[in-house]
Amino acid sequence: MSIDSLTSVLTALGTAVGATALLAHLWDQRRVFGRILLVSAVLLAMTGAAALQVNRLTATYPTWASLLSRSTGGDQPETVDQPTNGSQPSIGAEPTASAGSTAPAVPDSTPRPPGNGRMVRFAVAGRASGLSMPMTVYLPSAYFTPQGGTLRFPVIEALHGYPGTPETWFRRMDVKRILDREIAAGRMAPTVVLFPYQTPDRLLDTECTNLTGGPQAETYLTVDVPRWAGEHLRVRTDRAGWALIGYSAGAFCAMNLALRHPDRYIAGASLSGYADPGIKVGDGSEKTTNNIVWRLTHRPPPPVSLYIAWAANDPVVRRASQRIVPLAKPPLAVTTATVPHGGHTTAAWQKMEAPAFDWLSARLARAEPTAVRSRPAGAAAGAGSGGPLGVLPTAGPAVPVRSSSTRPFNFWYQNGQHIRPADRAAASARGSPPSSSGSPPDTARASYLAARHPRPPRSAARV
Amino acid sequence: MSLTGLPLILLTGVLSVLAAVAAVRLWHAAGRWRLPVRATGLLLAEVLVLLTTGLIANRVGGFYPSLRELTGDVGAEAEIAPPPSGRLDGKLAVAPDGLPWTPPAGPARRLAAPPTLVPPPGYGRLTGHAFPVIVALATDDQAPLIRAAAASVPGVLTLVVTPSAGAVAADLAELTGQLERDARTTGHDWAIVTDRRFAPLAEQWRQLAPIRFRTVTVVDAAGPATALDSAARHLPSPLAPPMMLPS
Repeated sequence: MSIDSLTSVLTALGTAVGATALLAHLWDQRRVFGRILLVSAVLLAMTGAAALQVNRLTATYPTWASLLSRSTGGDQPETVDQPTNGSQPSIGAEPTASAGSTAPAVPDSTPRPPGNGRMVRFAVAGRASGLSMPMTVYLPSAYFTPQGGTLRFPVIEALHGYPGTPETWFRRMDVKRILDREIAAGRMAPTVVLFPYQTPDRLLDTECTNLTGGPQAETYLTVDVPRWAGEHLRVRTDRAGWALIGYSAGAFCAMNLALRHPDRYIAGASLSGYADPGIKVGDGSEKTTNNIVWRLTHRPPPPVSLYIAWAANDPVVRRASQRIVPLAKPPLAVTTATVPHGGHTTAAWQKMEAPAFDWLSARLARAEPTAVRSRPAGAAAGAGSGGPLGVLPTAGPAVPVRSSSTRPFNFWYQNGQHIRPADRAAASARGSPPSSSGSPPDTARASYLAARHPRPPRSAARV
Repeated sequence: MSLTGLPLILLTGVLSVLAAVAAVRLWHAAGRWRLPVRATGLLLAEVLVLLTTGLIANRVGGFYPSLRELTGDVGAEAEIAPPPSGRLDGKLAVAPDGLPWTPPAGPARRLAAPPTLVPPPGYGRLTGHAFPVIVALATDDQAPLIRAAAASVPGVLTLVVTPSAGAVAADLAELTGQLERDARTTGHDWAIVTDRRFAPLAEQWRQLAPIRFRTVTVVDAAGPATALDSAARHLPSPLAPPMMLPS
């Protein structure tokens, strides 16, 4: 019985009903201690049932084992596309991988029929960020064909909401089927899609930023993940071949990272994204460089393309989107899409995801021969030209772990405290995030994070 | 019915209190109904408290504005966009080496020679696909080389243009609109490949239309084929009509 199954929730509800009946039956026969026990059992069962249902919607804890740890590093999701030959999944670095790299062999190189991509899970140890987290990779069926074996593919980084994990993409948004379908229909070019975690602590919202004294999520996502992919997968390494997509908090991430790193990404797709992170980053940048409205108002527009989608009856996101769109000026290109209903739920994102993936694919550079290294398109290329991410040091072996799933549920935290949406909306309206209600610094968390990150991580932040 | 409104939250809240009060008042009801009355009262109160809590959380997050969202109905379905078409599709399909192209009258006056539109291999076979474009600015003597090289660049339409002396980017801007009508093109993320002589003009044009033209590649000693190939590698693949939301 998986933690996010309906059976688990119904079992908890059944237990609550049973405990209630027991309480009613035994009340007169028990004294204070017994009665307290009975009431506690009822409360526990009801709370448990509610918590299980919330977890079903968010996939914050994808397995029972994950309940034992707040760290996301050990998550072992249950739906894995295992290699058919029984060997460990590996990923086929290009033949020209730099000397000293582990250059894993092409995995299970049996050609797969069109529309039959593969999900494989790996541990990605980030040297720049110091973070080590699992990442699921979608490899299109073309990746395993003889012709695909000579190509390096474009890449999309798919980001999840908060609280949550990439499991939402797999279980609620059925992303593998969508990608297989769109690629098979020719609406998407064969593309490698990465599903990284955005926080090492499932109860800590990073909003893909480098938290002061905390996880360097931005560095992990924009430096470590691209570097790892460039070393271990046959993927393009230039900005023309990289894009972002995300829903809810991940949608803010997709827009924010694309705007902050136009040297790494050519496009981003936001499915119900906010204009600001809604957390305290620690350096005040939630009001400035990590605030999309501020950035578009105070910085030159970068040469990237954004797809901004929202549901008309999702008022906070609608207002945020309607503030962002008019601020976009060339060379920043914006395409908008709306659905009339759907609120802030996976129901809306399910409708948005295929159009968003198609849109991204129409802006991503095509797969290129492995013999060619991407470089800026020409001597007179402008800021929008493609370019490699740089010469990347070699990494350790790709560590495959068991691979592959939620409904949106967003809370916002500042130093571990919830922020009311009203505050968030008000902050968005005035172009700054809400205050933390004077909450003191979380020294326990700071110590914990300091212990987790003994070395000062290098920052990937760009202003 | 709004699931985020205060009236529903207040209603469930009040009902929760009433259920709890009723359960307490009837707790010592006599007879064989005592147990069912207690259990029912408690369960009712529990469910209502849970419901109220859930509604408050839903209001805070704005997740499910109405019952409609609970059914997954968002009021719209993504649909496949209409297939693109070009007025010259039929001619392009049988002109693998290129087709003389008649530009609008305005830009035509600023061109030293009639432009040529070169389809990629398979243009006639991929009938529903839209193609990215390379606009090649070439001198008279370079143009034949460019045309020959463009015919073998996969997945890209190439428009070979020879601007006249003194042409400025604004003179050429109208070319793109007619090109979109004449051939199955994407409207964005195109590339310019240019002879060194026209590099300033190309950069001027890119800056004038930075969303349409993302890159400029200058033909160097390696020759036009290499420049076209380099530019094409940064362009998207030709794709079938995408899924789109109605708005």
